[in-house]
Amino acid sequence: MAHYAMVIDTRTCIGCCDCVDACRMENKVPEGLCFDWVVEITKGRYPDLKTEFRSERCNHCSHATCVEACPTGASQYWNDSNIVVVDALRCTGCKACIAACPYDARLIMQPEGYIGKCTFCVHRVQNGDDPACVAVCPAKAMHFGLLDSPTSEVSRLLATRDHYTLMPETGNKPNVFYLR
Amino acid sequence: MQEEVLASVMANPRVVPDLQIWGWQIATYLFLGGFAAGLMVFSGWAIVSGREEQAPFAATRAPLVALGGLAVGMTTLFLDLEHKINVWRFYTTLQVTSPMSWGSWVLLLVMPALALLAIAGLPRAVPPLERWLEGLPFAGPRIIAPVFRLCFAWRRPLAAVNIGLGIALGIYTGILLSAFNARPFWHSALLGPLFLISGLSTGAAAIVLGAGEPRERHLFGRLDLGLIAVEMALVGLFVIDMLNGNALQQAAVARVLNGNMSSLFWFGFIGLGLGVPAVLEAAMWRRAAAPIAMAAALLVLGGGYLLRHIVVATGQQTSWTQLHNQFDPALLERLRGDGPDPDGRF
Amino acid sequence: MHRRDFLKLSATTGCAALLGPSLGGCAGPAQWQKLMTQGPAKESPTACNICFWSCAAVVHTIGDQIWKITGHPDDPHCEGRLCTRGTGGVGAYNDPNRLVKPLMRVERDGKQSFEVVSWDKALGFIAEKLTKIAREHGPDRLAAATHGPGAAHFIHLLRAFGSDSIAEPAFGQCRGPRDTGFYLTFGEGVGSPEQTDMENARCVVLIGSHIGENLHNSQVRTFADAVRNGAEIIVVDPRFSVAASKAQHWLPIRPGTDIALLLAWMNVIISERLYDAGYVARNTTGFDQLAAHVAPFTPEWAWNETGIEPDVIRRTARIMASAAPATVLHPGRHSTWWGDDTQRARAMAILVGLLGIWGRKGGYFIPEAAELPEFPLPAYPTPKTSWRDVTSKKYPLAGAPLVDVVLDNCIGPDPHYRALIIYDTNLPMSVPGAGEKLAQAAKSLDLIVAIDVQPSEATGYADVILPECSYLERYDVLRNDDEREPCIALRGPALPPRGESKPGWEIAREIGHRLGLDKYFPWKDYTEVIDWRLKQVGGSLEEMRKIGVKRFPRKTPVYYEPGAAIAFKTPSGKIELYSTILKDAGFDPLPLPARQPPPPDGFYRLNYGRAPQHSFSRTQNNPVLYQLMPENVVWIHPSTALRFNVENESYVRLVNQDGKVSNAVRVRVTERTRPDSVWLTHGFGHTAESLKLAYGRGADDSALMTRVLFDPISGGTGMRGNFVTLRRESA
Ligand SMILES: Nc1nc2c(c(=O)[nH]1)N[C@H]1C(S)=C(S)[C@@H](COP(=O)(O)OP(=O)(O)OC[C@H]3O[C@@H](n4cnc5c(=O)[nH]c(N)nc54)[C@H](O)[C@@H]3O)O[C@H]1N2
Ligand SMILES: Nc1nc2c(c(=O)[nH]1)N[C@H]1C(S)=C(S)[C@@H](COP(=O)(O)OP(=O)(O)OC[C@H]3O[C@@H](n4cnc5c(=O)[nH]c(N)nc54)[C@H](O)[C@@H]3O)O[C@H]1N2
Ligand code: SF4
Ligand code: SF4
Ligand code: SF4
Ligand code: SF4
Ligand code: SF4
Ligand SMILES: [Mo]
Repeated sequence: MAHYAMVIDTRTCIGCCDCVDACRMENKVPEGLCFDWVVEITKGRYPDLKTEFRSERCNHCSHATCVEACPTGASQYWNDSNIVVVDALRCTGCKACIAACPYDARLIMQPEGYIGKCTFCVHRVQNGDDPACVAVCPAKAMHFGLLDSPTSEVSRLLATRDHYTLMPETGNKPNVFYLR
Repeated sequence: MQEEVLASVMANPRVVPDLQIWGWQIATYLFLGGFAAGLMVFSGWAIVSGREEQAPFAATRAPLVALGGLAVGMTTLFLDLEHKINVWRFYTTLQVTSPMSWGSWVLLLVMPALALLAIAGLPRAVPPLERWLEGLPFAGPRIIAPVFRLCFAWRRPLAAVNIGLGIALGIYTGILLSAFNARPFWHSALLGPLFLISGLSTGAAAIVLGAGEPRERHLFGRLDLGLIAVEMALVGLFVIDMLNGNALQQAAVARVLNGNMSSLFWFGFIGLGLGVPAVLEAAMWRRAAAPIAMAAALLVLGGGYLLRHIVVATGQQTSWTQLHNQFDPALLERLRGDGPDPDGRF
Repeated sequence: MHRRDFLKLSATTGCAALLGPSLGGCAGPAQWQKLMTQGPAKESPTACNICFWSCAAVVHTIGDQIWKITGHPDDPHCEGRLCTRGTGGVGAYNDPNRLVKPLMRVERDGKQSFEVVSWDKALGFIAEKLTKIAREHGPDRLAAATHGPGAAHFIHLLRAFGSDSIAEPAFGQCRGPRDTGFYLTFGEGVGSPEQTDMENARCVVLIGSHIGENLHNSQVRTFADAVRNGAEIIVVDPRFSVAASKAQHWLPIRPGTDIALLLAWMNVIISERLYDAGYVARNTTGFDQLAAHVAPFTPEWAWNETGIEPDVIRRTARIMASAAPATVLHPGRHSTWWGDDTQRARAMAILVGLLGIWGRKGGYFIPEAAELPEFPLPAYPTPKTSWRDVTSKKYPLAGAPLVDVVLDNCIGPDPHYRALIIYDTNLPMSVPGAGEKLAQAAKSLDLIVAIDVQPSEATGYADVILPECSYLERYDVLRNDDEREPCIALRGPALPPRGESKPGWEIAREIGHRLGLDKYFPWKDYTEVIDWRLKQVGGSLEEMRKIGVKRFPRKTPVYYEPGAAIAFKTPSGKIELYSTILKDAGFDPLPLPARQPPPPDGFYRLNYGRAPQHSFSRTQNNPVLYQLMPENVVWIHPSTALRFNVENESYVRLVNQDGKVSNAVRVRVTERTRPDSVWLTHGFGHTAESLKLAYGRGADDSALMTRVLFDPISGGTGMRGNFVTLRRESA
């Protein structure tokens, strides 16, 4: 199985939202909707402060509850990988997958009504390119690759840097990692 | 102090900022599913246990009512689909991990079983209809009459099947929600039994409403009182389960106990939906008064719907992810033209 | 018609001049499923113009639809990565509210309105007016306010006509004080892109500069490099900026007291002998005066001024000195803050000299541009009066024309200037007080022409509005900046101009021809100029349409040799720590600290700056960027929120010290702002109604800047001396 991961360095991420922008353009996301988003977290009191930005999206979970919940198989793993996609031609819009995603990473495409989400840019990954958000990040804070190979950039970063995932307690085994 | 805001704007309709994927359509469907399940179980029980004389409504008309209710429920379920042209996709696969997939197949089994039971009872339920149907030229004597006879002859095994499927349907309406780990308020094993008992209770209430005979009304009124007692216990256990759950579950149940859902919960569901009918039904333990029994039954039905509504709504108000927009997300609606001012942009 | 009212392009008059709706959906498979099989898109090179950083880019089009814009991989400005705004450039093309037809002010029954006219009529009208002005007053009485790379065509037009009064807010409202301060010290300004060697730095000092929110692309990337490399980051900012959040050392300075901090740093560096003594001896003059000057400005003294503790001042001074020369003491960019700005820039420049980081690896590199000849044209006539004649009376050391001064000279019964061309700048929102000045100028001037892509606040005062096509639909002057590695980038059209809009070069040429300036526009199409120039360096337009960016080897070293004596273009040939020019002009030859008055009770300092999602006041109506940030919010400290009993999501109005009231603006309660300040992103609060998305959204910082702190040296308009209080809005 191909195990893809995204690794985002919160030390260099500046919260510019370019990743959101690039995703909208690349994937022709309908106006007003988004596949990814940026969260700003500030802790402390002036002047003892810490601010961190986090670019978030579908975690392409190894244990994807959305795929499990889908009654039609429209939500599925792409080509024996952990990339989770929705086949619009099978989707009924029942929204079980939305209810099943603890990360609120899915959305109802307007106006058609099938379910949309971050695809890890499979259409680029299939050609060996980085996802659009990774490729655009002006701070070069984002990395993408296969965890299967221990020498890949993402594997190396995870091996050498302290990191976390969002709410691992969901049990979904998310595959977007944040470097501290 | 901790501040967590979105640096971008997130306005994916009905997902963020507020999860509102399922509304009255799903609450109605879950209610009517449970209601139909209750009717199936009691109808089957009346037939299997030989109480057809004692409970004529349950034995003959209840399957019809269940069938109608379920049809309405499936219609609202259909109405809820965002991509309706693909509805047939439910039946091109069985996804073993998906309760909804199982549910759609259960529905597929329930409908014919229920229909056959309804047919078995139809001659006695609506005699003029039977006479008219059997009087139809050609098909009447050759097809319809034999079908009626056949179904009637097989009504006991059919009733047993209906009991089984009814229980499956009733539990499924709860399992559907409780399978969602992502929604802490739904993630309780008690939701299945609770919805099942509530479904039985609404089924019993429907029979009280429909029963023409005091005897039958009295029987199901007393049955219902027992079910309400069990339901109350389950609600209590569910609340305790949530209070002992993770922080998100505690926050969710707080909404119900003293938050935005609390008046619906305490006054609507616990008070009018369970408490008052329980008191009324207890008062009628020895002798039922038709208007009061019917009032109690109506309250039970209302309570049953409220339970689904409260659970469906509250479950969507609590999630793992908390995303706060600093910019007004409604402003993005102007781009899609679905805001308050659809011409806003041009 | 002499009295001009500010005209809003309304639905009745201007609609035909704006683009109509262009939305649509599609059914069937999901986008990603379609993308899996989509054929290659057409790719054409351009240079981004959402800001003038001008990153080279590639426009991907499918049929007549624009899909996306990506960075050019060979471009040092972007290294294949456009910033948020550049990525959102698609919206500059798709904006349904764009100008697409020429408009002229007409008066009917005493009512003024804009009417769609033909290009011929509009240009003829302009030429007729200008010819009359030239005849009666002289061509030097035409002034222009411009910005951006496209301005070159109109600068050319004015110079050919006989005027050099061309002002841009990028000087008097932006870099003016910084460049003046560095010019006085080093004999040259700081480049754009700034020659900061952050990717090799071991220490980066940012004074104000909010890189991260300020999204100048290569600045962001190299700053991120520094963070990644573990460089010591020192950020001096009263607000917890994004850069501050990356810093090991955040110095939350009392606003307006940076000179005191800089003097104290110098005090430590000199008294502890941490400066580069050899470099200072070889390359500077005035060290002894400086040493004597800073002696009293101890960290203990500065503590009282700046609120920064003495040991923090000492520690950070030692860090930057020990990392030198691999220390970037960033010169900043927008520097019109407190009116003492040239002196602050001087203090920074002096510190740069002391640390010996100019021309050194990890400090400031030496930029170089490609040697690209200009298209041969006759020499420009010498203007009868120059911009200096009107400027030097007020600001003898101003290095460039000032928008303020130009506007002042457009006002009154007998103004110096008679006509004004506004290109690619939105004066009412970028120059404090310019709205009122423009309104007055409109009464005096014979002609105002605005060339813009959208109906802005400035276009409302024009007699003629000429619609320029967006940068995605036109050729412009080749980009050839001073930078680390010489390179040329092409801006070429990826799509045909929308509606009747035209490229700037064509507008300038058409006006030029009508003014009889044919010899300055001897070409039919601007591509001839581009092609000719490229051919001089071994390329061609045809090649450039394919490659987009052409790199050249450096002819000079990127850094000075350690130990080299450097020739500076100052009068002394050295870095002038002590400025004789300033002394001779009657200014302090060494910077002195200033104090700013505290806010009156119930008032807060109005702090402002950038958000990464937008450029100035030009992108708020861009439908793509609107999605990222549809309005600005006012940051207030929790203590302020408590005092005014407001919380997140409530709306307030800001009222400044002179009673100016802002639009309703949403509140964000955050610890990231100082308790005595509020923060606004610049560029919001548009008053042009036909900007359907941006109109009335958020608060305009410029409109609240009624107290301007003029810098007597550079003529910059210090913007930070304004105070606001909150007024609660019911809904
Ligand atoms: N996204 C985006 N990026 C841009 C632009 C844009 O429009 N959008 N514009 C570009 C242009 S032209 C420019 S000039 C630059 C401007 O960007 P910069 O040159 O970085 O602007 P500054 O004014 O230095 O920085 C503003 C910071 O100064 C802080 N500040 C306020 N008062 C004081 C003070 O008294 N002392 C100190 N030390 N700091 C203070 C503020 O809190 C704020 O964080 O941005 C460029 N980048
Ligand atoms: N209050 C306040 N004032 C400021 C600043 C601040 O932070 N606060 N910042 C200052 C700084 S640093 C700067 S550099 C200046 C910048 O000030 P300006 O140069 O005035 O910048 P913008 O506001 O972007 O104005 C751009 C105008 O150009 C138009 N435009 C955009 N693209 C094109 C094009 O391709 N062709 C033509 N013809 N027009 C186009 C836009 O529609 C808009 O009307 O503002 C300064 N003024
Ligand atoms: S593009 Fe990069 S720096 Fe910007 S918000 Fe996304 S991850 Fe952070
Ligand atoms: S993040 Fe949500 S949508 Fe994405 S794979 Fe995990 S459960 Fe599914
Ligand atoms: S909405 Fe579509 S993808 Fe989601 S669970 Fe239902 S059928 Fe599957
Ligand atoms: S991986 Fe692709 S689809 Fe997912 S957020 Fe990034 S750009 Fe969007
Ligand atoms: S910095 Fe951003 S907006 Fe400016 S030119 Fe580059 S990509 Fe365009
Ligand atoms: Mo600027």
